[in-house]
Amino acid sequence: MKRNTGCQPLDHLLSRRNFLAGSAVAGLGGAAVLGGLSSPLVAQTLKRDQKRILQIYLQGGVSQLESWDPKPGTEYGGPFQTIPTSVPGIHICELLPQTAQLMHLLSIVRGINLKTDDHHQGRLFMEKGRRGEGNYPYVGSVAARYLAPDESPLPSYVHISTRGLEDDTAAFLDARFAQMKLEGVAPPANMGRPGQLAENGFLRRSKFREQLNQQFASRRPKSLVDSYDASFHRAAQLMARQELFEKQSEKELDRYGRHDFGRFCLLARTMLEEGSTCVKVTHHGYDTHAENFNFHVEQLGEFDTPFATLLGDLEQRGMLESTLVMIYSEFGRTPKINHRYGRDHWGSAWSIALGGCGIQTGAAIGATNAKGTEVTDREVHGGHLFHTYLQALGIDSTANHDIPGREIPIGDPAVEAIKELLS
Amino acid sequence: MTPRITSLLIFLILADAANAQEIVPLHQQVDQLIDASQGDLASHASSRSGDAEFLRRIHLDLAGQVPGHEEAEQFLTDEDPAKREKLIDHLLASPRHARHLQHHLDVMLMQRLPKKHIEPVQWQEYLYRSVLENKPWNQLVEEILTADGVDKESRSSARFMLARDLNFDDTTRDIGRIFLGRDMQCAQCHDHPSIDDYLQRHYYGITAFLKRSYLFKDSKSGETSIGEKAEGGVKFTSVFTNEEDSTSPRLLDLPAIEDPEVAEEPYVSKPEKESRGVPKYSRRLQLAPIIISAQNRNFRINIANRCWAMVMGRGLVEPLDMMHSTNPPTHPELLELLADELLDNGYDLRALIRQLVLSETYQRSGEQVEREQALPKHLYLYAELKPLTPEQLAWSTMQSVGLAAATWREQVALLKKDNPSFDPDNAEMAATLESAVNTALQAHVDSFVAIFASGTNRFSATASQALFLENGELITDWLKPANSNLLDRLKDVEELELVARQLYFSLLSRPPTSGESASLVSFLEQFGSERIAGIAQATRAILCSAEFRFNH
Repeated sequence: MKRNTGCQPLDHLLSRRNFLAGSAVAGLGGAAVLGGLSSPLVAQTLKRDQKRILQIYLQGGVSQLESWDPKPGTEYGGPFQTIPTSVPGIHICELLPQTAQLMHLLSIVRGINLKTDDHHQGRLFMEKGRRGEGNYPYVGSVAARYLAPDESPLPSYVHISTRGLEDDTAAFLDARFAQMKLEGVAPPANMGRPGQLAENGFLRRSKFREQLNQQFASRRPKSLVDSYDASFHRAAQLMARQELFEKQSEKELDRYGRHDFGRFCLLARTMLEEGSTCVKVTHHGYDTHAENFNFHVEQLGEFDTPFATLLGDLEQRGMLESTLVMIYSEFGRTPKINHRYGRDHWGSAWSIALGGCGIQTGAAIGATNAKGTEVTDREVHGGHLFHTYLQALGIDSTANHDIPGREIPIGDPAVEAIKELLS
Repeated sequence: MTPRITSLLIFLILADAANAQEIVPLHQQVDQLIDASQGDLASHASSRSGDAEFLRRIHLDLAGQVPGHEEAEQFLTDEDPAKREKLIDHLLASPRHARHLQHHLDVMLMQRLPKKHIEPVQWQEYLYRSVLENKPWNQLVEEILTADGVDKESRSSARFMLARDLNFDDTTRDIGRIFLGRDMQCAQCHDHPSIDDYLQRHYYGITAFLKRSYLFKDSKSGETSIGEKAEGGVKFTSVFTNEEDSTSPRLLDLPAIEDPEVAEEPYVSKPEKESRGVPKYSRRLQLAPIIISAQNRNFRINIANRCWAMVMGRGLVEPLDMMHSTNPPTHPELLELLADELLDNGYDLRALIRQLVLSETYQRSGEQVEREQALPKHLYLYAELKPLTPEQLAWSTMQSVGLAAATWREQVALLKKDNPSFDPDNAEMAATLESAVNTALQAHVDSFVAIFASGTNRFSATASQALFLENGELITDWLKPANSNLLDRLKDVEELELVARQLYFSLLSRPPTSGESASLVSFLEQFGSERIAGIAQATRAILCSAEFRFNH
């Protein structure tokens, strides 16, 4: 009985919103509720109501020519052919055979021009919807802020990656909407009870701490103490779900693959099912200045199966309607092939794919010219995309952030969402 | 009190303040203005803080950490009626105060930007030394804004510009926010849509001071510094109206600063690949003098508001960087008074902070008389609950578990080895000692910063933070008996009541009530013969408690 730690009163396990709304969940018996969200009824409620994001970040800059916008037989087209997809008329690179079969669940945006070829600047623009280092939150933190239930059972925004930079994703939003970084499928830091401390010792200590806080709060403004208490409840909930990180089903690993990216995608599915609002998975290694083609065979070969399996699972489990799916990079790669058979940084004419919640799927929006050297139709940048992600999730990105004393527009007021991409 | 009588009273107080400005100390004027603003709600004001409450608060606000066990016992038994004022002066003169204010100024100025061109540690040392000598704020700002990073002595003060890569947008925005209290980010692309006083020309007026400057990398030393050209202007276009405009360097609505006649040779040193451009007339060097000048009221209003917020927990204008006519101060005369005081006293922040913490407003209890009624926060009826900064939390934890004192003893011994006449009571030596202790413990502080730092000053607690406090190895190690630390001292104390008392003093700077003592004793009894484990768990529970996490 690891999970039922007993230090989580009923009302802390349920989102306050659900509780007040007197939903079916609130009517459940204590035992079922203490079982957490693995209870099917709760999971169903979650599936239906809670909107989420799955971000697959292809770090380094995937080549649009070897993925979403192939130009076979042209000067810069490279060696690969295109293949038809489940959407008549849309062809993608042959390196993505399984993804091609699920193309009806996705749309492609082919006219992205960020006007930057810098990894850091490109990444910030794609995440914040604003150019430069300005103090704005990442799309994952914005989603967590406006979509996560008051008491999310798991961290509202997680990033599964083996390395990478620590980002200030929450900016002026509360710290609990900041990204929690997971080192691969390892549990978050400090999940294990220290040293010899047995579970009952830990519980005794928690109870004693709660008692101290009650005394203190009886004479002070309650809200800060409550919010501090809540962080310990979330920590306890996370500790109670340690098994999420401990073992992955062999059967599922057969489907997803046993390499890092396969495991990460499987963990992403679990985290989304268990209630995280934004789950980002980074697939490293697309910065192919040399041997671009060999690397893309390898990288996309690793990407295709786990991604398609995950996308298929989300659909089959009825989660795709509520989950926005983004496959993106910080930029694409130059059409021109350099002398090392590489492609370099290229922010001016490249593509991403989107699907799921709020997205009109089966479309290819925007276009580049025959050689792929410039955008010829529906040019967009990180600002348009940012509005699009949020509006797809039902967040009014033209409104201001809910910050006392400040008026900070959620999305860049100078640009709009890609309306034809929204369903 | 009827409104008429209240206004009469305000009138009398103000008249009184005007007549007697020479003799009414600033802290009393503060109290008069705050009390007058409370009107009918004054009856809900909390009483003066108790000694223990004051002791913990003043240590956190002035020295950045909770007091040591002995200091606490000593203060609480001291019967000197002037003991609060004496403690304030003692703390303000201590190197720990310089360290605390250094942390505060560093976060305010640098917002925890990563290392770039200059070692943050050197910059922090520069700030520490500046606070230690109580360098006037206007002088500090002048140094920071004029440093070009060439001169070895002053190079570390160039971190403000260099860490921002002299990016015109980031630097413009931060100069507005940090020195003028105005976040004009929205005015970068157009006049602010809803704030009439934030104009695009204000934004670009500041950019114009910087626009000719550039980063110069010396190929020999590899060091980056700031060079400048003798030409180049600033044009801007509104994305709303497409109107184009240009501006000379100009600070908000003060007159534009036009360039002097162009000399035949405009350069002292021409900008070339191997040499840093130095013009005879520098636009960038015009920035500091106009920012700190008395004509620029925003400069003193901003820092007065920030000092107030630092000790009171909220600004007279909130958010601190959103000063504009539709977001007026809660107490306009008070803010003017504080700003004028800074102008008069030569921007002596220490003197201003001293007056603020001497006020009854500051020394009010944080315990609320009436919990039922939601009392408006801006009337200062009770002391605000302030979350500890990551640095305060780290230092308070290290102080409580006895690590700070053990490190202090170690460093004294080391310094004495080098210099037998080393005397920790000598001011300069004490400053050196503090630096040595700080360096020895810096990595621990960094661990707390990595977990607890946040981009907002609103309180928000995360599961990662709770896990760090509850399970993290760092704190687990600190709760093993060693080097006369807290656990070492308590492991042989037989009587559990005495253990409880020592724990409360070490962690919360006060004795436990009899109920608290009893419940702590019964907690310890549950651990039976495993008393050290029990004490470690009790300590950790208190370290995780709200009473420890907040300054109250």
